[in-house]
Amino acid sequence: MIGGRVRALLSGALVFLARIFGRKIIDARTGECVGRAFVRFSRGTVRFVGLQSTRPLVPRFKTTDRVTYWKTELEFASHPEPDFPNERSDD
Amino acid sequence: MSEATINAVLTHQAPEQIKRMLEYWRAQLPGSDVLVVYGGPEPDFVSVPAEMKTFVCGEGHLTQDHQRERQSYSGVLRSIASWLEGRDYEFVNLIEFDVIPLSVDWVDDLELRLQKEKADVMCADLHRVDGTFDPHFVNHLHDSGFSDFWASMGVREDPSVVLSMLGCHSFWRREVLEKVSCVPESMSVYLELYLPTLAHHLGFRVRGSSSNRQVLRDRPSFSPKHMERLRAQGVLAVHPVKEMWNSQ
Repeated sequence: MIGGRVRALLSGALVFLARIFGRKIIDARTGECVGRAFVRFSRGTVRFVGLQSTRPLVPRFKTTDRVTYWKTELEFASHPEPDFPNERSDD
Repeated sequence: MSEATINAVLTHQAPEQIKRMLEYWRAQLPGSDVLVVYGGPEPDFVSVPAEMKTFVCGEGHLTQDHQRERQSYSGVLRSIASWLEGRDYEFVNLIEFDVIPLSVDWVDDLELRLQKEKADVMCADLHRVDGTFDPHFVNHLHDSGFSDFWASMGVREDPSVVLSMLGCHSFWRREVLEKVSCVPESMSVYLELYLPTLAHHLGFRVRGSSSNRQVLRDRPSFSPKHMERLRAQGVLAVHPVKEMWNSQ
């Protein structure tokens, strides 16, 4: 139980610090900032520490208008608002 | 106040707190029908001071760490569906006890929007989360059967869609709630993913209930003073107000 409280305190502190000092995470679809996080590259993965996003985002590589070999960019975008039709045949 | 809607309020609080909650509903929302959906200890159910009440079957809702233990509302839906038998309500306004309606217009507004949207169910803070870093989604994706579970419903062209809601509030067409409640929960999925995603993959139209006339958020809790300020601004409902029923 104490371990749980310490973990909660630490994660709360990290989120608090990330909100002040973290990098902005931008929703590429809307252009809005959805939160801040410390971004760290480690053993082939990218870690986002302290991120409490206002909306979930999908990572995707940015499309390019010309072929470029020396760089590629990763961005994040939200799904559009769910708006699927009713597909029940019995209703 | 609409007579077509039953307000199903899920609570595990003590009878004294439930009494205060019902008094508030009677005073602030006269004419509205409230069903107390009791998820507390079974021996206490008899002393719940409500004319309309039902006990939640099963144990899926009895969790401490709701997200990590993957709290389930399947039993809640089954209990409501069973209570509805022989009654002629058309809509179910499913809310947790700490959602506070601030105006008699709230339910009418929900009914109107559901019909305008041609929706089958409206959920608070609805998002599509498949492929995202949503913490519940990435945790569930770790389970091998998660994607196959939705694909097995076989109604939607794209079986990969996963929706997420805030569990505190959803507004249902009665027959949709009844159909969702009939599906056996063959794998453990947290209710905030399970309810909207299941309704979607059964072919129902799920829409978000967010509007600037209701302030439903995960946390932090609103104080009663803040709640009154929101009421004065014309807000129709607010969540969470955790201490609302603890004292007069």
